[in-house]
Amino acid sequence: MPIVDVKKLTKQYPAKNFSKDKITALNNFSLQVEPGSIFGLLGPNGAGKTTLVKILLGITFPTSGEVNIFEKPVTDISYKFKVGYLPENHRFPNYLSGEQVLSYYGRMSGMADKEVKIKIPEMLSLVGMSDWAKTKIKKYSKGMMQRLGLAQAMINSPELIFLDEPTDGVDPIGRKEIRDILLNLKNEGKTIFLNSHLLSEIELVCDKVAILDKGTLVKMGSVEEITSGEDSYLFHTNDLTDSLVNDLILKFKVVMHGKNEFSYATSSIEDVNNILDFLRSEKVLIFGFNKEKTSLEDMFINIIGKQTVN
Amino acid sequence: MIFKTLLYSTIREAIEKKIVLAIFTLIGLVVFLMLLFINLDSVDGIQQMLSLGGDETYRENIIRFTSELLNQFTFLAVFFLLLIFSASYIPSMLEKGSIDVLLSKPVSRPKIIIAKFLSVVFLAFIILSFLILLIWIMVSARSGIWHFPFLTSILWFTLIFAILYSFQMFLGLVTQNTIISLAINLFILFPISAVLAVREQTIFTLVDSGFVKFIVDFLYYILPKAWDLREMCVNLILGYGVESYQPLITSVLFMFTVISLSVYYFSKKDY
Repeated sequence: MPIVDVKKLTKQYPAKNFSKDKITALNNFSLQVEPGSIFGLLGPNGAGKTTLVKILLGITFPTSGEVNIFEKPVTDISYKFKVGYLPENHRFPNYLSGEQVLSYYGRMSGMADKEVKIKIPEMLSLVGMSDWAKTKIKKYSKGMMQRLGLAQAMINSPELIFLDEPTDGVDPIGRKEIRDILLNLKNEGKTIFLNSHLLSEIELVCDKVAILDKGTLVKMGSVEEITSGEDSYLFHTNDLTDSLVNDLILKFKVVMHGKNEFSYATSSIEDVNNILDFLRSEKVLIFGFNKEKTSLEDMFINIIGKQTVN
Repeated sequence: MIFKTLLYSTIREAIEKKIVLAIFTLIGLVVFLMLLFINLDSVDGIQQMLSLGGDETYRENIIRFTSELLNQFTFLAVFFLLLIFSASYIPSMLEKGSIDVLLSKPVSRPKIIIAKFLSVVFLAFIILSFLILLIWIMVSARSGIWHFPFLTSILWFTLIFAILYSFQMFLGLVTQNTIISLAINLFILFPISAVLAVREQTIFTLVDSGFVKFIVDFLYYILPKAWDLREMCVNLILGYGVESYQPLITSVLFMFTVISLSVYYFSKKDY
């Protein structure tokens, strides 16, 4: 049974300019998350990712559709005993120290005093913040706040953890540490729902990925499934004119990497020949082209680009 | 457990923001000035003058003096400070990033609102108890009159604060803005409520229109009657009895209505 089960979910907000029109944040959206997996949610800004997470946590209410977590509707708050959440740009009372923040949110999660006292040093050590336990959080850097936020999301030993941009503001070593924590949690059988702009990170840790654009689910599957459908070709040419670059983007949805290099994703060898014909007809000098493994980033840009053009 | 945690965090926030310290300092300063005043030789003369009408008159005058002293000081200074410090609680709780974490915890929304309300009222109760006990002990020790019904004013003033804070909380939820919610509440507490309490001697002498009188009466009955409750409290302390419990009943009804509206609004709102 899926741990998160969303069926035909729609969320509309009233427009702000007193018009009768409504803004659709999520449009007839369905997805399932299996227990013990890391699920990645991708999408450009305003795609509806945070709205979806907020609905799953009962922070925002759906307009229509069905949302069940641990086989219970989200209106039944008892599921929250088994859930942890790190929101994007979280804000904790800045007069508290790191350990006081964990103590406060641990108790708010329904933990007993004794249990909280045992878990605080464990969590602080896990996120590398033991030395800062007694320091007021107003002195913390962005990366330290992020680590503390992660500890807060894990303090009640949740079975399902929602993380919204968990590595935001964290240095590369910290990111690696957070990735390791996520993989350890997965090995312990926990389920992680991850919202991130960092596609390379999603690619490294997620078992399943959903791509969301303008409130619509565009694609869902494992990273392999999403990236295996098409091959990517990297072209090296002479410097291209602006009008030629525009033509390439519009006709072939290429991704430019400078004036003389671009990627082209396709599953058809005929398309490769077509783009070669086009380049030759425009008298472009082709220095070479290589077939590459399609990254999630290429695929994401390709899919979102197509959606935008459509 | 959840209520205890919210209560603890509310008190801690008040301490950390130095608001409690400011209120206690103000109270301490006033009490210190009063101590200086009642130890002046001239006070002996005032005492002798007050006792000219006999023991009963003396006793009544002392109780009236203490009640009025408390009423003016509490209303104008302590209530003002309490409302200012409590005004930011709800808007700061609703800030993006803060409300998200709170609502992800296994606590129902009505419980959060009621716990916030009760914890602020509890804090006000502690501060008012400190103030009223100090004034009572000081005046009683000097005058030798220990009038215990005077202590009921702790509960009266806590109730008046709870009524005012319920509206503050509702405004904070709707506007999500400390300044706007505070300004509206103070406007209703000080000018509006005070004028409506004496509307027959003020507005009605200036206006003949039956419709305007109806509107003014309507406002009087639906809004909290802080000034009437204050008068009621003094009359009860002095043992005069109460002419009508209408201000108490309508104000308490106002409080429960506003708390219910707050709970409903908070429970339905998307964050």
